[in-house]
Amino acid sequence: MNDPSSGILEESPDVIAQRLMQKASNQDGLPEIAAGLILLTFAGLNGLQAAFPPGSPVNKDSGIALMALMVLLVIPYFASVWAIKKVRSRFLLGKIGYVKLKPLNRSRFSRVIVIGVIAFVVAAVLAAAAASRHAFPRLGWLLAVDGISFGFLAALSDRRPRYYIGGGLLAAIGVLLSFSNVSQSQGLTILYGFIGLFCLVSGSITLSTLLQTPAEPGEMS
Amino acid sequence: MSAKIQRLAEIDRIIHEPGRLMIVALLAAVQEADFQYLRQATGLTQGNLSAHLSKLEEARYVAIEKTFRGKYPLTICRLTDRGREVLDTYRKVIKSAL
Repeated sequence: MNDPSSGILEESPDVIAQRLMQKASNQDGLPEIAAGLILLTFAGLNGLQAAFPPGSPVNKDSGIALMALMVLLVIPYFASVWAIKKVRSRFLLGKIGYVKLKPLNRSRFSRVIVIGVIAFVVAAVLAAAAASRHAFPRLGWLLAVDGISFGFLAALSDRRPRYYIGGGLLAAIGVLLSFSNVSQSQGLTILYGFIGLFCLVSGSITLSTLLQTPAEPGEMS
Repeated sequence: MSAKIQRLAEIDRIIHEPGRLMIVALLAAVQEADFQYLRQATGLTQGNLSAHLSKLEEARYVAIEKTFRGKYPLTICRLTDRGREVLDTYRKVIKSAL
């Protein structure tokens, strides 16, 4: 087995801490399960909207719900953070231990917002360029950009094989969908549905594996 | 340049040990964490982590408190002000030398 501390002196203490905390945060699969549920909701609403003819009550309602979910994405995000915290402290304390985080780091939060805005602008510009040149199906690039961005973020978020595999699959599906004949709405449903399902399955397997491992004493001798 | 490299000799050897550096770096990033969390996050064995924590506590870089949350016993670890200062100095020395 590799020494967990090997190569540690080549990194700054801040990088070490971020990497270790990220690893610890993903060890029970709960963040993946939460992300999977949010993405499946998004895909489900998108699919409903695509399946029913425009103007029908289901199409209208799912459209409104979808817009609300996109605009108010911050609410399910913070709700999932709260729920994960509760589940961990109630059921998983003996398995994953206890940690009290520092209050939200503003500079990190700002960085995430900036990256999100840049990704959105890049996707919009690429989509507009592709649409104007008629080189690809209308807004087809958006699916490829979404798949590649999500895949890249997934691979970057942790150094575990399942993240690399998931990231690679997402990028490949995004690119394939952008070249296929599916409509924009169907493409988004398939892409987000796949991401959601992958997160849910991967998180559930991780959680069940963790639950099956016997708890070890968490005390110093 | 050589003066900067010579500063490496001043480096705190307690923190410079890779296992302890992981613990201190982690504790600097959170308010507090228990033994089990540190063990899971660092991947150190129970014996190694226990030995490193004892050394850090001895040097007064880490404060350790034994408590309970419900029926579950917790060994809570926090970085002391002294530990934070030493880590800041360590960070500066390494940054200037590399």
